[in-house]
Amino acid sequence: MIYLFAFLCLMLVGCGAASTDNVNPTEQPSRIVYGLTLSPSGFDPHRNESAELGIVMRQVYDTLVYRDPTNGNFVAGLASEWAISDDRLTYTFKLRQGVKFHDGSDFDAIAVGATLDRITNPDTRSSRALTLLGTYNGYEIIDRFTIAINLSEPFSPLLDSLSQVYLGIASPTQLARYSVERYQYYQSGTGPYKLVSYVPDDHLILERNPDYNWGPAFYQPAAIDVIEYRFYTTPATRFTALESGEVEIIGEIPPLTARTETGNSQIQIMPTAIPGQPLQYLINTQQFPTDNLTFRQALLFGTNRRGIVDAIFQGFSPVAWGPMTSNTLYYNRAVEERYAYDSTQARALLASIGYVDADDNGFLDHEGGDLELRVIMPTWGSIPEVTQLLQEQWGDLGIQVVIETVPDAPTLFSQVQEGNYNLVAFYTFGLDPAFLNSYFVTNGSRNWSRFSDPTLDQVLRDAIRQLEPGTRNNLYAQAQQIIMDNALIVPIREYVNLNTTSIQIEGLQFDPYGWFPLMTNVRLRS
Amino acid sequence: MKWLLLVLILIAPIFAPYDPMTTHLSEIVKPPSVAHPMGTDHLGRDVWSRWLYGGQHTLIMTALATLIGVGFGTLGGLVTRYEAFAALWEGLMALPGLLLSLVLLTLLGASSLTIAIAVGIAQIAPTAIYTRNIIKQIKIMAFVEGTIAIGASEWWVMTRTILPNAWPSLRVYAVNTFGYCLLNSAALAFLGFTGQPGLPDWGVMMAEGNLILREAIWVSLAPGIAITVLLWLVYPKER
Amino acid sequence: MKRILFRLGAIWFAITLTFVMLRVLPGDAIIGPLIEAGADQQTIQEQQILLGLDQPIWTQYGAYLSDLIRGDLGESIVRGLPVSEILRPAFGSTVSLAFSALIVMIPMGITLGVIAARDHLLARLIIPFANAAPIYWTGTLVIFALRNTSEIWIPALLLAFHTSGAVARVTESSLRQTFNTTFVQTARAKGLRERTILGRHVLPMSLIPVITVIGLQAGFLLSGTILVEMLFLRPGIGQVLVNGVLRRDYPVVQGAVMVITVIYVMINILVDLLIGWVDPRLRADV
Repeated sequence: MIYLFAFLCLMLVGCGAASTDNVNPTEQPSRIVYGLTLSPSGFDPHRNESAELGIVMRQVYDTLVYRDPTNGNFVAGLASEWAISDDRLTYTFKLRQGVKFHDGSDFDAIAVGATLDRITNPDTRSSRALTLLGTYNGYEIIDRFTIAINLSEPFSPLLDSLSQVYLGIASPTQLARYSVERYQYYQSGTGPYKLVSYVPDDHLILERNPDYNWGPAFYQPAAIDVIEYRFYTTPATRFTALESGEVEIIGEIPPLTARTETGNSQIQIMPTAIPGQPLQYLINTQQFPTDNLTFRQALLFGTNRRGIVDAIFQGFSPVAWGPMTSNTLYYNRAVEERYAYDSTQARALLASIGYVDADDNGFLDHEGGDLELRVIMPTWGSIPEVTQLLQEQWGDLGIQVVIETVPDAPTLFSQVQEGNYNLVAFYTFGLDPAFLNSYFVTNGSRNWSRFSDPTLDQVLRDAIRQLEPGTRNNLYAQAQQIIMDNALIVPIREYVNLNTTSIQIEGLQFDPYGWFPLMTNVRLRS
Repeated sequence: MKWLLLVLILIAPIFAPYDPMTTHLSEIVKPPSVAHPMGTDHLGRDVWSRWLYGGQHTLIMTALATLIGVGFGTLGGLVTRYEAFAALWEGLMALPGLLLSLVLLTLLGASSLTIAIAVGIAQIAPTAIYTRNIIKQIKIMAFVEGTIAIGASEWWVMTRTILPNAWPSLRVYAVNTFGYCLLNSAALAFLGFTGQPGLPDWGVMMAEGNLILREAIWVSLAPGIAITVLLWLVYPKER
Repeated sequence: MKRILFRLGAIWFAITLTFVMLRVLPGDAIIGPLIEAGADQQTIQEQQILLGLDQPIWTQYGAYLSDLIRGDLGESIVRGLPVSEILRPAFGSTVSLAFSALIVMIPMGITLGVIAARDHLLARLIIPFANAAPIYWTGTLVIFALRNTSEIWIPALLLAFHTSGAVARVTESSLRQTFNTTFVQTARAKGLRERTILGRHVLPMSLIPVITVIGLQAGFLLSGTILVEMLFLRPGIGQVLVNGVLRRDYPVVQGAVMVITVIYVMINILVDLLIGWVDPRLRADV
């Protein structure tokens, strides 16, 4: 009897928690559940920085320009055309007319201005959006549908930035209605989907925007009425959720699962390469023994990336050779095979700078002890597994690898600031290699190789000022060459998101940035 | 029987056929076979060898954590004669132990030793409160009042009368704490605090195994069953 | 009165310790997202000043206490919302899970204890398993077996099962002790049926330690839910605490600890009162 009562109570609680659906009784709305793999601290594209927020908010916002997924070229978005002044300091955008925000207000130049004002206001505490704006120096509204963005110095990645969801245009009336912090629960853009609700750490619900007809050419009319996003932070639960029908689409399936389920006819696996930096270890050039170029090169020759990629990533990731992945703009093929695995070469290099194992304990000697490397290792991604294999591979060369685990980003950054490390694993994503500057320019905020070279500084600074693709291509080719000549990083693998969908889903496609799906093109198979 | 088992776990590594840390990239997630009686894990390591080594590591580290928790906790319980100190323990007790360990590990960095310390420290407050209550109960017994009445020194009363009488309860309590420490350090592994990567430890093996449950359930089963059986045997039986 | 002061002191100590511990941790809430986004050192410093994170710790502590006295838990650094607004749904979720577990745990534990006291083999097997098996291990196996993560009754039953072990053990030993007392023997001598003896005499007498252990387990439930919530992806206080520490969202962790401490202390008071009610002889001690 007591048990019966207890179970009834449980059922009641259970039902109460699950009744969030908003079903349209007149017709059967099509609805899918999309599994996100991380619960980010926020979903405001102007304030927060995660890729997860973009997976959702890419559907809610339009941007001034878009990149065509087939060739990566810029195409019209909310701006129908644009012009860049000869001094490269003024970008003038002609805006599309007849566009409405989800809250019913009209889109115009004032809205673009309001979004820019919000991002640059210090109280917004913007992270990514503000960084993407680079040398932004204000705007000028020329007429209701023309706006000019001014720069203090030429900044060629601006269009690339403006095509990203972090600079999506928000409704000024909605922005005025809510505080900076609260806006994220009531976001209003012009995109193909409207935000219905966001419950932190639990779910988001988007609903099709029936008025949407101003999308870029590669957006089809949306077919799915409702998209619910849920969080599957534990990797082991992801495939289970897909298999049990809890979700229709989910990202970042563990590689081992993807391998064993490859023949499964109920699911489709879509490995999607993400441009940006590869999984890499930045080498500290100011700390013994990695202050020696020959030593750094020995490390690179002694790294069996193919073995790591095959074992941990089950062959789903391409091997990485340089500071940016092969699908990033201006990638330089010359870096490939530069440091192909060659342990004989690695040993020879170590011997050439005088390292010997005199006490014959398996490790090279240094000042009466063993030669040691200190590696800062974050616990996310597959970094622990990769680091462990590196420890073994470099151990074979006679180098003792000491691993310092850091549980979170703040700890990582304060450890890096102390400076007494040899390697640290870290990487970011992006299509335009402008991200290289903060890592490899002398006073860059993430110059964790602590490397300083006037030529590299000059090349990288110049590369974000030049507009002409041919010029940029040459500059970045040179930069990649210098970075690998000086062996500043140990690149391991290019990032691949193992997206998986149920067999009912068709047409799933991702934009050139890799993370963000075009949900308008998704169809349910009948 | 119980002691025999503990000794067996401690000397188990001598039976391990392979090195527990060495990876074999061509042998990834192989099911149990003659060569690998418990199969291999996601890095091709022999689960049987890791399991044998893991027991030793787990046992030593849990014992250390228990020693820290019960040792300092008992001391703390002995010295807290004043209510103000008792409030201090009560306050510590109210903090979720997991949070305390989590913060300590973020601060100290996760290694086997710091995990044992962090887990042990979280047990100090409960032990102190328990000790204090036991002492209170013993103190009101007639024979203790008697010793005080005949003018024995406080130290003498504490060491000769109270402690011997508290000892049986404290011993049972320590065994229980051993169980909590084992479960808590495994819980921390589950939250990602695993110490030096690759080190064989039952808690860490279980956390790693949980990630590949679908492909290699044996990796998680071996340490999970081991922990359960160990605690089953070690916990005091109510009779 | 003394008891109340004592408990207030305990709460004060817990929140002060939390305050200090969090600030000793490396880094702060600002630096993570900003470095991730590639912002420069100047922006980081500006935002630290904007949030008062550059102030000396005692200034921050003073401000925190004075806000707290006015009933203000502060604002989340990461989400910018009032802490109370973040904690309310999280505690709602956790309490509904913990409470569902509790109402199953009590009858389950006592029943198991009664069966065990009568030397039933089943209870002999189940109770040690409930106590010994790690909850996230059995939890993962359950998810794997049931292929389901979304329904509340699974984690609730799991929690109830693992916490009922301790209740069962205490019930069993308490029952055995009571069975051996003289008044039970008297009752037997009078020819009362075993069932009547158990229901009318033994069980009520044995309840005191059981109530104490239920109180203790209620506290354990709260921390047990942290793990279960992480495993079953439920947006409760566990996620809030762990993410709060990882992201250095000081006010949120402090707020959560404050609420947990108050709940803990209230449960203790409740247990004291209940014991006093069951056995009036112990009332003077409360």
